[in-house]
Amino acid sequence: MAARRLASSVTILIADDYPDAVEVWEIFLSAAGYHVITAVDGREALLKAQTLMPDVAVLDLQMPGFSGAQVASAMRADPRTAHIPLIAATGHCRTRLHEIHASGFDALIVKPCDPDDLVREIRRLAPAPSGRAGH
Amino acid sequence: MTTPNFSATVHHLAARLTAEHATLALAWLERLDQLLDVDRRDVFPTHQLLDHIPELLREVAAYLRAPAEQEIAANTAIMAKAAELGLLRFDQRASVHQVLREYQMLSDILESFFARETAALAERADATAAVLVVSRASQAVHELQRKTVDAFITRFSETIERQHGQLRDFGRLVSYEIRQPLGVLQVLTRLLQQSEPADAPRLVATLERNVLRMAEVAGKLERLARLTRSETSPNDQRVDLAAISRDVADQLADMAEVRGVVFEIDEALPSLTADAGRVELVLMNLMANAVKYSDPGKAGRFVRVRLDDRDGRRTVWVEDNGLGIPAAKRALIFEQFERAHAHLDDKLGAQGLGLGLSIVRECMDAMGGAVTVESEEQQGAAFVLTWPPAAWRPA
Repeated sequence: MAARRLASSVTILIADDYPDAVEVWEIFLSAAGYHVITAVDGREALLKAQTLMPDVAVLDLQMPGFSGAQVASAMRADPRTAHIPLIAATGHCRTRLHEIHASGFDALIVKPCDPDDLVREIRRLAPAPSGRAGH
Repeated sequence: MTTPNFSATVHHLAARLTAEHATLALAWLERLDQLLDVDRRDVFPTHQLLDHIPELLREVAAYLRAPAEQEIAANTAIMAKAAELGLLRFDQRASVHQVLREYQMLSDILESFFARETAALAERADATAAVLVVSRASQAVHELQRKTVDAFITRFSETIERQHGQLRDFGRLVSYEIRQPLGVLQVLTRLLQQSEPADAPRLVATLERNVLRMAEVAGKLERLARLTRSETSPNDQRVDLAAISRDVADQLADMAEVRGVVFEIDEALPSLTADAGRVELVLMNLMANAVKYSDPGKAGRFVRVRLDDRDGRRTVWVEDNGLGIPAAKRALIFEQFERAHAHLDDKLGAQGLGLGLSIVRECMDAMGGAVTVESEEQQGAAFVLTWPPAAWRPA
């Protein structure tokens, strides 16, 4: 996991406290050509964002202790990570993007979500330099 | 204006009402009974109403003797009683319409009572006084009615509001609990179509886990629905606590074995009269929790169900030497969706909606009992169950 990312690939940080969600997204996005790093809570997500510098971070909003919104605010406040596009993931269908915009999110996906929708958001926010990622 | 005759008439009528208040209350109840169908009569809380109505009538009589400028609303004790009647009728599931009808009957009964009493006085009756008494009595009943209906409606709105809030929170959480595994399933269907066959077993295992999780949510919803449905028709029967605890322990045997937990069921547990389904649900939730949150760091892990007869108070204890419940969480654990150990789910292989203990509390409430918790963090937890004394009486 600590290996430097390949120049040609886009690195995605997936943070979710539901381990199965992390597992399937990791497999899916890897198959789609992305380099995936994972975190199962907010603290781990922030630490990995600061050290591994992903191109996009997908943060679950309902993580216990240190929520996705708190991670987003902390990333925005840190010059090293302030530029990283952020996607919020939530299981609450009433969440609206404008409500979490203040925390620094650029996009919102509501679970369950079509895997293609997440890929579309990732491509919009972090175009693959060589066109390898996605399909 | 006031002649001796006037004042004597007022006092006589008031005294007659004081003397007859219990008889009039019975006449009122009898008329009420005629309005009810047979089914309702079975559950009609005669004794509780007879606690309120005679007292209201006695206070109306006292009010008739009071100075003309005095308002019945100034009598705070009787206004409180009228409000209490409203709450009581609400708890008995009466309607506002029914309450209004009851007061109308009370008015009618008083009116014909005073008409009879005035007629009995014949020429000794002061006509102005008789009219004044009837009008003051009717005004008093009107005030009492307003107080009762106000209390009824206030309680009604509070209840609706509370239920609405609970339902909203519940809906949100259930949808969240379903969305989580559903999200995994949606990605999995795609993965299973495109992945290497070698990955399949692992993906299928994840699939199975998440389908089970959804089934668990559905099961809990059904149990919750069953609880609310059966609220009005308790199925009381003789329940052998030792036998039912052993049954539950058998059902949880696999779960306990994996975690190295031993069940200790007190053979002295007696029988009680209660809803067997509810008793089982209570024990099932408490014993399963105790196993789930056993402390892997301790030797001799146990879950014990025992009787306690200290100080003439009979209680049933479900206790363990598990992780215990942090003091800060103790007050809230009986609320829906509260989970004291959510952060340990992965470590313990536990998961849940946080409904278990709210189901326990709901069941104990429905049986007229109670559940409390005693716990030292790291030492274990003890859930103390209390049933009404009548439940322990031999059948």
